[in-house]
Amino acid sequence: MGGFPRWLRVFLASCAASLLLSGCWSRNEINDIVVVTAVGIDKQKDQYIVSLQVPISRLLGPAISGGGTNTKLVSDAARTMSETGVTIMEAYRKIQQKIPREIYFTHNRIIVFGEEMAQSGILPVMDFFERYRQPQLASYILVTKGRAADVLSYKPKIESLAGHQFREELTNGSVLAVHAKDFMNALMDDGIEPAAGQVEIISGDARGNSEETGQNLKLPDEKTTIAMLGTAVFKEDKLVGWLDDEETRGLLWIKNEVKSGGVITIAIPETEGGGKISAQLNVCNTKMIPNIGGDEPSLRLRIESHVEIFENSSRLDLSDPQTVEKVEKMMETDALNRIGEVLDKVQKELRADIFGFGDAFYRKYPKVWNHELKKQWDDRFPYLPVQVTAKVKVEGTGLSNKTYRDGVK
Amino acid sequence: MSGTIPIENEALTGSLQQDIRTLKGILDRSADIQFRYLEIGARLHGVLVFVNGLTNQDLINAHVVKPLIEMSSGQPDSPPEELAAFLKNRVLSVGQITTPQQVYELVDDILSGSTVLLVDGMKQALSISAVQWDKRSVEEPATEAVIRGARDGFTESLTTNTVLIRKRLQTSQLKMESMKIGRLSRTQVILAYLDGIADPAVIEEIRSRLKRIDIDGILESGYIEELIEDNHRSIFPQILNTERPDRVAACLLEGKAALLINNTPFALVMPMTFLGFLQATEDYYQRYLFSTCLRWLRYFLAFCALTLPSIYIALTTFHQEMIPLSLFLSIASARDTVPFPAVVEALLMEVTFEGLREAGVRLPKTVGQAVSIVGALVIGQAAVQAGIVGAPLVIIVSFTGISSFVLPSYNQAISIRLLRFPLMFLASTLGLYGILLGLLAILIHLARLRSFGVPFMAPVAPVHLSALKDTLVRAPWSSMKTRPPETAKRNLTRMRNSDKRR
Repeated sequence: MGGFPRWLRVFLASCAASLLLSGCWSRNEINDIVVVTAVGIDKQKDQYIVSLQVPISRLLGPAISGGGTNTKLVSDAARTMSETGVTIMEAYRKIQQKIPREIYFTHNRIIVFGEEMAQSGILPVMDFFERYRQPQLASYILVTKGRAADVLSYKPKIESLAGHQFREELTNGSVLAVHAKDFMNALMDDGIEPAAGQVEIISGDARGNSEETGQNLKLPDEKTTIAMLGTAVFKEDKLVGWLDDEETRGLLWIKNEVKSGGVITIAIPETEGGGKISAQLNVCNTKMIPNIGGDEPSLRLRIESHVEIFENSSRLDLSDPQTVEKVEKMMETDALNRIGEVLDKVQKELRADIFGFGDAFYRKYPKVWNHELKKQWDDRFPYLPVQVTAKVKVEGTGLSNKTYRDGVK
Repeated sequence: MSGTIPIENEALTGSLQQDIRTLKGILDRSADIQFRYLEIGARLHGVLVFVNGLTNQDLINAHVVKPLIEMSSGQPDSPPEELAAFLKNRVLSVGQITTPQQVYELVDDILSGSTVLLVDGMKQALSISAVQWDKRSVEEPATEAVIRGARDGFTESLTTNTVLIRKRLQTSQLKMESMKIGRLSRTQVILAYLDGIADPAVIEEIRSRLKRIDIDGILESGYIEELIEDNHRSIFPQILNTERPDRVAACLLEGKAALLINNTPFALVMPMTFLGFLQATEDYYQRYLFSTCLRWLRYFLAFCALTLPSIYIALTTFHQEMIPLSLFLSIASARDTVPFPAVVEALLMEVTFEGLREAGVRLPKTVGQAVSIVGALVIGQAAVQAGIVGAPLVIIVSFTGISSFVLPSYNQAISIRLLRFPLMFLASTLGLYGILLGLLAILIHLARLRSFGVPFMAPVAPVHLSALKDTLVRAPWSSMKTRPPETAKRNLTRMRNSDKRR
């Protein structure tokens, strides 16, 4: 810095240094904020009930200084606070009044909607999450029958926070894991309708059928657990129906979102010895091939999967390639059945295109889609002929070939 | 080299009485300067002047005093003008003898340990160099230990040091220019370089800067370092100091110059680059893959030592959304009990750690154990339990401390340690943006710095691709065919066709 007179240099340096005098804006000590790990929204007449799950950091840190009392409180580590308000922000403000620290949404993972809320349309609520400064579009969306507040106040056993538990179960791959931004995309897109996972508190023991356990039970804590049971189907932003566990698996298959871990079970008919064979899906590929033949649009679903057989309680000898082929055929039939069921239910009953068939048409025939099909899709979808072909290949039979049954006469 | 205290520019008169009086006038009130009178050849009178303790008494007694006293009375039959030559060539069986005439030369010689012989009638004096004094033996350098490599380090004796270099570079190209610096200390300094590799312009620059030094005493190489540096106000050192002769020899081979200074084992090497400080001698003795990984580790830890506390402060104060949830909850629960904001907590710990480190340097060995216990228990354990600091911060501060020890060069390590604190302040006011501003300021400063004309950030800026193979990684010797271009422009070839087989 030669050439400048000394006073000028000092002056410029102090101008630059005075930047530091402005104070530290947006400064937040860690102990002045409280993070939200799950958000639940319910509707009651005209008002929203917002529930926020906040972990209590004091109880969640590593055990320091002779902490032996911590273990008992770990499952109490989160608190759920609810408030009602005319808009989301109002309710949120009211909750803020109850908490000494500032609410921080950035670590939020889950947004749960109650049934009533979902049926009345969630678009107004999603606007808040999209606009508010702290990013929440990466959170997963879940819907529950009953009230979201109950789901949030569930005390988890294995993880320390219910939010954790939700997230881990979602990434399991057994249910549809939808991020808020994907949900919004599906909402805005004409060719696909949104769907979200369904979460319920159910009995931790053997599951009954879904009607019994569909409601949030008021069982004592030790007996309950949270499960991702099925799928909530939306049309535009309103909830129109549910898919149960089996149907959800079919849905995942069609949407090409089966992660490894899915299971196919077939029952061998008595004539061939009875028993069941279960295989794990390793690779699953689904192709949607739309076709506009003449005037009628139709769709072909081509499903290919590789499975590995891990349980064989029948008499069939899997080391024989012909037997394996038979087994493959049976699995293909099973797959076709399952997919057929889902298609029926979604097309005929729910009439919402959650598979994205419309999008497939758009991709292949954009002009036709834009001119004609887009407007008529609501009417056309239920009658869309879908032809399904499935191909299953058994990749391996696990670690053994023959079954034990052969040895036991 | 003359200062404000005038030393007689006179010449010897030849009259013994006169000369002795002159000398005694200059060297009075010094009990350690001895005058030993003797008779030469039973005719002439002479005197030996020397500093008690600096001379090899046995040598003087046997090879100077004895021959002189035993000279037969008829011997010095040559005229007085040739007496000096006669004594030097025929009588005194000592290796190094010079014949000074000026008084100030005499005084210089006496004070640097030579024994001076004055003879009545001789216009010249004989200056016999038989210097011997108690010095430390060559041992492993205290500050730069290695696992593999030589274990000899420089000592306080200049002759020992020059020998250690000479042993390693037995070539006539090794030049060692001597000069005396410091008006009152008259410290002997040797400038060593390899003629033909080192840049003559740089050597000339060094010489001129040394000549310009006008100070009363040079006690340690640090004085010279500060006086000849390009930018002595900068936090970063531009001159390396080392106790290891192999390091100096390696630097000389790269075209650098070294200054060996009497009374200190720390030699100076210049010109240096920033990345040169981060290289350790052992990198070249161990296998190159391992050395490469170690280098990367060192770069990473250097960065950590500089920025880790600041990043912690910035993240926990401004950018909590960047911390993953479980870590966030851990830190929050640890900080629940702490009454201070993150900055104050961090500063407290850092200052304590630095205090501990400084105390450790000065402690006598007997107390050293107690201090490490105090450090670990009190500061680590008890402070966390008392709720004064949080456990994550103790981890961060200790990791930062460990990282700063990884730097091979102490003077660079201290600059990085120092820079931590402004970065912490910037982090606490402006968050990550503040850290970036600070790092940018440091980078700009480093890029502008020069060390004797060599850009300080070479070979990264300006980029010399070929030289990068020795900074980013430690390339195997088969690839290192050229010397670093920033210091050895004239003679780049290191290896010729030695590796046809590889």
